[in-house]
Amino acid sequence: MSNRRATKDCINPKGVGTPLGLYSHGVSASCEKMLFISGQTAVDEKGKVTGKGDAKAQAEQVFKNLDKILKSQGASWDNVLKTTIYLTDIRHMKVVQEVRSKYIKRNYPASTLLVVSGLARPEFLVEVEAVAAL
Amino acid sequence: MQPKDLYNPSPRYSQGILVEAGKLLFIAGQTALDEKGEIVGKGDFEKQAHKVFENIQSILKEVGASFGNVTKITIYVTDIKYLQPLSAIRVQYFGVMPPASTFVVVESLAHEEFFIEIEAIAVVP
Repeated sequence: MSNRRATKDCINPKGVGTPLGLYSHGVSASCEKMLFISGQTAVDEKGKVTGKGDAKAQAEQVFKNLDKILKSQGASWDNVLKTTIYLTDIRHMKVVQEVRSKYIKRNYPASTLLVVSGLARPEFLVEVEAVAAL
Repeated sequence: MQPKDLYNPSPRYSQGILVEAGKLLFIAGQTALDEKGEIVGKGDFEKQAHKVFENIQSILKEVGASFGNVTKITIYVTDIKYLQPLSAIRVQYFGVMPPASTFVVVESLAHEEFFIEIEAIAVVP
C-alpha cells in the first residue's frame, strides 16, 4: 500500500463462490485514517458533463476523478476497501468493468453493482463511490 | 478535501472526507417514519426529507454525535425532480464540511409512499 500505516486483507473464504469479477467478497483493514469518496460521475474539473451517451467515456472520467481524489491524499487504489457502482443500464456493465480493471489490478476491493432508474443528471450513465483506508 | 483539478460541489456535499479512524456508526436507510412507525408527509417530499434528517439526527444524538461527524451519505429518491428541493434542505443540516455523498434515483423504496431514503456513515468520538 502506498501509505505505510494502513494494512488491508482481501477475504475470499472457501464455501463462498469465486467472485464474479475483479473484486473480493470481504476486505478487512487496520488504518489511521479513512477516506470517504462521493459518488463520482462524468463531470470534468469545470463541472461539465463529458461523454454524453457514451458509457465507456463516462467510466473513464469517473475513474479518473476517483484516481485524482485518491492521489490528492497520497493514496492509491490499493487503499480502496469498497466500491459501489451504479449503472442506469445493465448493458454498460462490461465497458465499466473494462475501465475499472485498468485502475484496479490487485488487492481487489469489495464491490457492489446496481442498476438504478437514474442518477443526478439525466445524461449520467454511471456513478462510482469508494471508501479507502489510509 | 477538494482536489484543485476536480469540480467543487460545495456547499451541497464534499468530493471526499478524510477522517481519523475511530468508532464507526452505520445508520440504516432512514425514511419519513415517526416513532410510532407512521409515515410523515405523505405526498409531500419536503416534509419527508426533513423527517429523514431529523431521524438521522436522533440516531447521531444517541451516541453523542452530530451531523458534523457524518462522513458519507447515500441518498435514494424515487424521482430526479426531487434533487433541487433536496439540495436546498440538506444544506440546512450540514455545516461548512458537508459529507461525501452519492445520489441515486430508484424505482421504489420499502413503502410505495416513500419518496426519499438516506443512509449514513459517521465516525464518532
